[in-house]
Amino acid sequence: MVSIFSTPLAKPAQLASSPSQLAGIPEPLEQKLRLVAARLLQAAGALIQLPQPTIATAIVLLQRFYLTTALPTSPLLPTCLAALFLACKLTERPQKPRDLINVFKYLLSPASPLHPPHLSKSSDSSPSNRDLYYVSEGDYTALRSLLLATEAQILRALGFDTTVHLPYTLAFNYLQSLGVLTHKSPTTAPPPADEEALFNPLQNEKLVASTFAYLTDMLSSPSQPYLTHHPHELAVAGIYMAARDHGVKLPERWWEVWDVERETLGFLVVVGRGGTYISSSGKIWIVEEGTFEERDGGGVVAIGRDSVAQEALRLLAE
Amino acid sequence: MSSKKSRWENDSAEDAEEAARRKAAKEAKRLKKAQKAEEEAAAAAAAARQEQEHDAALAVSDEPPSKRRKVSTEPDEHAPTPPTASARYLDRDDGEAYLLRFPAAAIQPCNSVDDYEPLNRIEEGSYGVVSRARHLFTGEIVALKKLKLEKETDGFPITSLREIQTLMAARHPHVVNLREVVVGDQLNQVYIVMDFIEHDLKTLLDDMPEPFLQSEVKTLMLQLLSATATMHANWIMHRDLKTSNLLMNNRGQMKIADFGLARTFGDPCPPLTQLVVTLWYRSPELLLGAEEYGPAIDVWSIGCIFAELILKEPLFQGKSEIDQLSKIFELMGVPTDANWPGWRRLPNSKSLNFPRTKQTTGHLLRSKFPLLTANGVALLASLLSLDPEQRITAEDALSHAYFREDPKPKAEAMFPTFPSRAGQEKRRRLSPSAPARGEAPQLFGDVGLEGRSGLFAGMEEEEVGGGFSLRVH
Repeated sequence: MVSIFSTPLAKPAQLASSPSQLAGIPEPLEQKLRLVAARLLQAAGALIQLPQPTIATAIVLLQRFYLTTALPTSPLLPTCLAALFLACKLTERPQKPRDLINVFKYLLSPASPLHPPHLSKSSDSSPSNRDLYYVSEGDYTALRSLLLATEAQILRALGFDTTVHLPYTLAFNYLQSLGVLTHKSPTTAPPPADEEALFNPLQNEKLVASTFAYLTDMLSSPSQPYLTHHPHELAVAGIYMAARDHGVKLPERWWEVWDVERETLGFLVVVGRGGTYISSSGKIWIVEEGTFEERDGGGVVAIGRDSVAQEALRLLAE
Repeated sequence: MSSKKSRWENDSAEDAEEAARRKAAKEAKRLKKAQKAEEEAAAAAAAARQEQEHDAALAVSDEPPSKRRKVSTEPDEHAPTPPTASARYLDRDDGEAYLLRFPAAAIQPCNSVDDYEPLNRIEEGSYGVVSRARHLFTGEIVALKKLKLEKETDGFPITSLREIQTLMAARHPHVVNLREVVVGDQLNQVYIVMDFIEHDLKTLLDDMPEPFLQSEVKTLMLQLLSATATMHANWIMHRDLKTSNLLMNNRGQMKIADFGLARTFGDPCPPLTQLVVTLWYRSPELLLGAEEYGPAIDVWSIGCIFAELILKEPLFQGKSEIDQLSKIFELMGVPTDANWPGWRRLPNSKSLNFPRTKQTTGHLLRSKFPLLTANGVALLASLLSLDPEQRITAEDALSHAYFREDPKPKAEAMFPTFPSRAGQEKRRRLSPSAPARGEAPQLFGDVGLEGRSGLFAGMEEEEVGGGFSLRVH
């Protein structure tokens, strides 16, 4: 039963040398694109009503894939599609390529909440322009074969080891074991007085929610903790941060019960807290092709192959 | 590092005191560790002198990862090697927690199929082709299973994904070992590399002159049950257990193979396909169209395999689903509300009608297996219990009294060996030498075996009872 605690992790050498950076993508751009990929997958998953484990699996697969493959070789859009397609199969929620392609088309269209509002006003994106919303049969066939080929590439790059163990269930389990989930039951003996505060159901619901929120946030962290840490370490870090936020008191050195060192926990808390690469005030907008923009921490990110290549050249020239 | 105060340390007097105490303890432990590391280094140096260089490299890579993940790419030669688990456990004398380290698999691309030299084809099925191959670097013989992906329209098939995932998850001495997955130049060329195992149990049973002894059956059953118990504990159902999917090497070890239908399950049970398990090994609840089923279907298959090991032929050889059911009910008795509550609610049970008398309920295993002990019959009956709820679990079956009574399970090393068909070995027959020159031999008298005349006349009409066997152990 050790297996659920252990997930394939990146080697330090792999993290130190990114194939994308070797292929001429500067590090800030690579981080930005990875963040955007996580956002897109999270949004697409929510629209198709996939459970969070499926979405998280897709994001982790994508991050692992870009450890061995450069962004210019495998552009972001087909890779996102393939990662989600594969994750759906792996978590027994198979989806049709058509549905995934449609959702991504919507997410990159002017109607999407991810689309920069200042761009949709200026350009000729009238609702009648169906190319912006509709995937033609030709586009669909091309994108679909690209998706399937990328899926095969992902599997090859990962050596077909698609094991992804996520911290969500573990975190829930740990919260239970810490006794901060159990509702006070009238049949059992009354708990000690100082534990009284721990048994407020409303607070505990929030505690679980923010634990899960931290775990989801860490998925898009530029430090990629899902590639460097085992699920039990992530789970403990998520609980630690959530408990701090809600003022829930936990036993002293409780993390050691789950084999997490203080130093590891500290590192992950820094990752989780400072994890937002782009400051919370700035919103990040996503378009398929276009120019990159920087504005108050956020900005516009284009994911198309040509736009990425242009931006890379611009950054290198600077 | 230890002299600096951690950033996450709280600032209070008692905390500082506690930290100082802990630091002192850590310092003492570090000294002890350093001493031990020195000793180990000396021992390792001595060993290294005797070993080849690449052997030493292998040994280093086998060690557990060091405490902190290093970000530098250079290998840090001064990093202290973590002591072994037992040593660390003995070290804890200062309230310092002993933390488990979990190993991590590497994220690395597939190797090429060109690393393997094909030898001969073993078998071909709907799922793909299995062939024997030799690894070019190590010379090891492996089994190479090429997946059939040409007709796939929805990308990499989910069944193959499950097969690879479950094989990776179900590591067990009696589950065939998945070495790696290799690929060819084309995107649809994917091969699963497994250990080559000489026999499959089906061919072996067909070729064997005599069935397995009771002691051998016990060993095989224990191996099968322990592997299945591990799979079920890891939430994996095999869904196609049968003798042709059980491999057998020449060292008395049986291995479960072909996870083509395997998948993970959960509680509550996810939606599952009903068309699983080869007909002869299919459990009655599947035949009756149950929409929800669990690991008990594997246990039924194990019951069928148990019987097959004794009989040397499959127990229920139905020609169709309905024939299969009637064969099952013939031997195991018809289901009643008493022995299988709720069986009437299964979709296909409506169309069934049969007499429920004393004669038809209750099993007839005793007369079918006259040489099996009472415990053996009890085990078989509980493996082949009609009601999946009452069917014994693989875990419980392992501790069944049958395995503790005489004859005891035979040691693996004592198993007989057989020439391997898959390995293209020929049976060496003990044949009389060629006749010498001389007169043609002549036969006199009537042996009477062929025409069943004379001595053996009327053998078919004789009452066949349990009889006796000289070789029961």
